Amino acid sequence: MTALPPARPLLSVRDLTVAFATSRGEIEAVRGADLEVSAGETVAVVGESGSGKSTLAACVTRLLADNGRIAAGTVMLRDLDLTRADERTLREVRGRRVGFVPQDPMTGLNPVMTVGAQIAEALEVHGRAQGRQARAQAADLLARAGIADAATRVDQYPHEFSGGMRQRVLIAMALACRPEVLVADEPTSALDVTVQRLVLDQMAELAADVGAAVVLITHDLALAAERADRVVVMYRGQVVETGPAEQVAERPQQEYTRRLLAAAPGIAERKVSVVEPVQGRAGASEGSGGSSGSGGCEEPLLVLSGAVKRYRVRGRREPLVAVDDVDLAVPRGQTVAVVGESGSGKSTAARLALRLEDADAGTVRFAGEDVTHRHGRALRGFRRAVQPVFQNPYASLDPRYTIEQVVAEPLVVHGVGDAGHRRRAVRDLLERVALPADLASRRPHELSGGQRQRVAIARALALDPQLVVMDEAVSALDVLVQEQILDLMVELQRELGLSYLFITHDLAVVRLVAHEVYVMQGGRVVERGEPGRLFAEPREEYTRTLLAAIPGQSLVHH
Amino acid sequence: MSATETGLEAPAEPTGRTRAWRSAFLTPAGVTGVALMTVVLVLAALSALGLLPHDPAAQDVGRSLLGPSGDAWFGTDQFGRDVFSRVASGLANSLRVAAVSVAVSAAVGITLGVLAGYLQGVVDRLVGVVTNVLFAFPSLLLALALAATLSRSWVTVSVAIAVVYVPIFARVARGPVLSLRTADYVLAAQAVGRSRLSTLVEHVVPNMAGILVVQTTLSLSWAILTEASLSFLGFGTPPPAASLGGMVYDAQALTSVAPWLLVFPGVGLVVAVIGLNLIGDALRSVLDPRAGGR
Repeated sequence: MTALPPARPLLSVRDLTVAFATSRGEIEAVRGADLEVSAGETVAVVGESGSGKSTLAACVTRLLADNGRIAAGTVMLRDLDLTRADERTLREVRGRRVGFVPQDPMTGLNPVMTVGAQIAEALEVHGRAQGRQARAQAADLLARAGIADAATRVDQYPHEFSGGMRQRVLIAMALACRPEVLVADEPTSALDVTVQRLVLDQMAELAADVGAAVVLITHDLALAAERADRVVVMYRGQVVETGPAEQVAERPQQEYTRRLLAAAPGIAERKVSVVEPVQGRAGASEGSGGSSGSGGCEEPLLVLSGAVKRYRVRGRREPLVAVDDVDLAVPRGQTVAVVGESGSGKSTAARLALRLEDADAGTVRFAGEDVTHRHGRALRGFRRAVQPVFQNPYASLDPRYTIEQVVAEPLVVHGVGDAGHRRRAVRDLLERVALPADLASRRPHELSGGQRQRVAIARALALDPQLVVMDEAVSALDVLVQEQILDLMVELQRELGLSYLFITHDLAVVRLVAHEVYVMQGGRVVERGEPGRLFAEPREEYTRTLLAAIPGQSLVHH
Repeated sequence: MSATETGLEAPAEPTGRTRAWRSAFLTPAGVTGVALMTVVLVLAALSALGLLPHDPAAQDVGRSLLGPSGDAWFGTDQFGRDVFSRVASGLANSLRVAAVSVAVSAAVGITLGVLAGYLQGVVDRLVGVVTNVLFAFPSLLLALALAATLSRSWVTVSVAIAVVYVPIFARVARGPVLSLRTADYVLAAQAVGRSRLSTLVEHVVPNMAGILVVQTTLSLSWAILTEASLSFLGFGTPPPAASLGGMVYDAQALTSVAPWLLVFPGVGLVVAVIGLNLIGDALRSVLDPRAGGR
């Protein structure tokens, strides 16, 4: 507050309070929030889900959900108070003065219109251009948003574009009328990390080009600090800290900001120590990368060798090779991470390891035995020892089950103990994952995302497994919750000697918990190694790209 | 980070099933539906227990075509039969045919649909072919053909209607199975070691129960209409048993002389159909909160 902005700010939110009418009465999602954006500036609003950051953004575009209302405060766009503007004025403002980029590029475009027509629509609505001229401008915008061959692409339909390209289209659309402010609500959280970076670069470039200030809504403090001039941290509907990006990242004033920063996977400390090389293992893992590293020592717990999985794709003669000759080994008591972008085959590899899918070629060995072709009763022994935890904690629990039923299910299926024994077992398991015992009678929808993921872990632990396969198990969680779950994983590993196969797209998280990393691309393992080595001296270009995409790199090197 | 995030934690569904039931049925529509069906069921029960004021088939030419009165509440027809008793027994007949036909078609159709969706492959293709062929016939025509070929009784009418509804149930059941079979909690159950059949029974079917219950309720009202249409065309429940469609047919020639002959069976039909539809809608909002009305 030492140097007041010289001119009047472009956008100024004062003491904003937003309330939502719910079945449990009115809930205030934003309480007395202030935000100021000067022309040409990029301001990031950071917070976890439920912090009110998206609600704040919705007030700037006045696209609040039907049950929400602005209870107090003002949103001034220069001299216009958006909280009092009528629908007619707002239509003029939206698109022309305030551009909006939504979170999900998959649902943000109309599937039956060409992308060119959709961008042209934005121009035509505001009378910026008509017909042929609008189309030409649309093509130009697409090109500037980073779409190659824009002249032909402009007449294509959304399904012909990848997620990252669709987001570029949406950015081009939002900036078509040269708005003064661009509001981007988690514009890249649905995209692969490498694409994320490109899209953000291009968004910044294009926004600077048209002279728009940017309000970037994100849950990732590292990303915010890297991209914004100023950062606003929100917590439970209130702004807890605001300041220049560098200052917030390096000298956070508030306890909450410090916690967020410490939890950011790109910045946080490693949670596991480098494995003391077991006889013969160190050499193997530093070796050519192809062998499964069983040089005379104890065989790893899980070994996937030469695994191939093909899928038939409708309308294509050639089958899609999802997993192509993959070798992978998980030693006992260690965490092996498989990293890759969507379509890299990492999740399919996990399903092969879980025997939820059958490999077309290759073998799965577990605890020294070949389990590739086991079925029925023989497979059940393997099922007891290998358990999955899935990505989406909202989808992995049967909504009709109580938490007790969820956690007890593996025991019931395998006929372990009687009802009383199982009830005690459930209580122990919930305690183990640090959940209160009274959650047992609740149903999944009454729990938060982090709690649900703990329940999924408790279920996975019910049968005392040796291996837990975590398929993007922390990707859908807020950073603070993510950190708690990672801590829990590491703690359980220490206590129970668990092994993990950790599937993720997030190389930053891998650094925190993995003993060994496999990088997958296009169904193949392109590089593997100890994370310290991999991060310090990646051999493959692709690994380098992935590493460069981790937000907050610049902060670490300060 | 859900796409619909509004800055709030996802508002939890109202806790306790009872609350959902109450909010769905304590609406004007829900109350009306329940009231109408209560009337229909009471009348049908009276008929089934033989507690009607008159024998619905008993003729008395001396009392033919009397208007509604204290003795014959809904009047009498050209053979002197009591219209109230005939409407009540017609409703009982409609409900019986509807219940049997829907029970049979639901059992067969849901089983086929669930298996097709869950097992995929050959089973799916086979079921697909059968349902497509059945769908190709206009449903009333198919029921008509079947009812005409088979010997006439309320059982054959039920069977004819059931055949028509099997593909509808098969299709309604297959859709949700397709998405549920790859749901993470279904995979999790398999990874725990549940067999495929046990997973199907324990995790897939219960989670689509809502859709199926609603479909069944709505099918009941369609089945009542189909039975009435068949009876109207002369292929339904054979006389002397009373059927609403047959009564409407018989009343045609006499509408100007004795309008009550047309009005009361017609009203009976409408009450039953609307009652079931309103209950179906209320059930839908209890069991499937996502379907905001098709």
